[in-house]
Amino acid sequence: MGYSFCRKNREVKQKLTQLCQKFAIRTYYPYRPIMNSKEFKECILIYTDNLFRFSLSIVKNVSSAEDIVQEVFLKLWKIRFDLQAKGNIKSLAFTMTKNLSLDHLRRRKYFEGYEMINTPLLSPSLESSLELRDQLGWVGQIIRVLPESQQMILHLKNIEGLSIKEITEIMNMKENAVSQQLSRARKKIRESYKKIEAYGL
Amino acid sequence: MDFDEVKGLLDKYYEGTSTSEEERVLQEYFSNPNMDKRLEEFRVDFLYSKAEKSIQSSTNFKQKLVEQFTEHNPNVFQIPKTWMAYAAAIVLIAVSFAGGFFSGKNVEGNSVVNTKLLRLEDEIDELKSMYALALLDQNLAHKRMEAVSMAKNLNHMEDRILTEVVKVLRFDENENVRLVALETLKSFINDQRVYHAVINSIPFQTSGIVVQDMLATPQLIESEEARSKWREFQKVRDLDDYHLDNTIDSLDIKI
Repeated sequence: MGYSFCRKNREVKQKLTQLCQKFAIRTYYPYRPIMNSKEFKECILIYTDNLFRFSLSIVKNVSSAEDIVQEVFLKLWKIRFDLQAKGNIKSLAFTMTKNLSLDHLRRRKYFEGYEMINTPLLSPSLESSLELRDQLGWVGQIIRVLPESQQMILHLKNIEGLSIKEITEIMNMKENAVSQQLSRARKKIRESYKKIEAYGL
Repeated sequence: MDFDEVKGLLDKYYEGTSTSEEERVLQEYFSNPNMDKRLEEFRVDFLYSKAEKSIQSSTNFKQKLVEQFTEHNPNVFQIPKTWMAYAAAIVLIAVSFAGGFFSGKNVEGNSVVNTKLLRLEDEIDELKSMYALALLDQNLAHKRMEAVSMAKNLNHMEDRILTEVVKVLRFDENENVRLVALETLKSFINDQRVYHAVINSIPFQTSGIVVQDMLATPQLIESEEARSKWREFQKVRDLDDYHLDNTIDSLDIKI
């Protein structure tokens, strides 16, 4: 019994150190530079929009997404003593947002309904704006049917513009798998869009 | 950008191997109205992500976050914690010196305390012996063992305790309890009462092991009385010299 307990402890320790290495959290404390509120703003609060968009793409509800982003920042604020200003905080924040959003979907008791923001995408200079709006709506519907992981990868790559390495950290997948999923999702959108264009919805 | 170049980038894009920089270039190309008409079917994909990119959280929310994560009153003067620690250390040292200075005058009080302590030790001894005696009535062997070994910790052997332990050494049915009793008696062997009690309990023994252990103390093996008792014991029990020789060998004593 003692042996298994020790082994379990060791496994937990290894996992912790791996996580710390992954997100550049310091595990030893030779000294303690404190991330003050100014640095916190410069390093973390600049990702507000990105995290909000990512959360919104999962929970599809504005107020829940705002709550989730606030919770992520609160958690980061609590561990701000252990964060390195130049570490990979971006991936950490995205990972936390992903987990909290999925948690929210799992825990919610009723369907809150889609509440997307109307984007001011179509400038009046574009002539066929109404048609384009329809087309973009189709793309959105196609994406909503994709598997959840593909949706997330697509969002992170296409809209947030993260690199594949960062996405591997966030999604906890290998690089090959990520690019494969990405290409599958993009091809699927293309094919489905062609079908809709040819035959209608 | 010419057609072939864009086509190559598009292939990369659909294989999922394009970099963020290349995707940004593609997006810029497709949001330009002067693009190649042959590539118009791919335009929607890039415009969709551009549209999604323009989503932003409300300014109210952002302001709330900024207010939440600013530290309040950073300019208020606070006494550093190290200063407090130094002050506390100085006060402690001063208090301890003062205490030593004033308590030095009270020498008469110390003797009173010493006598009280002695009395307390006596009381503790008595309590221990009472507890040991209470334990001796037990049926269980390990309880008796505990009681007998507790007598070892006493400062001096009282008569009533001695009689009890010697009784155990002579009549207890369990051999291990007898051995423990012997051990406690050995630690008081310089007391003449104990010495004679041990020697006189040789004839009561039933097994050679206890007697062998008894004789393993130098004070006993050197005495003529103990050896004569041992010979009587041998005659009665019809044993040979094996045990005695063994102990003498182990102790390196010449008789």
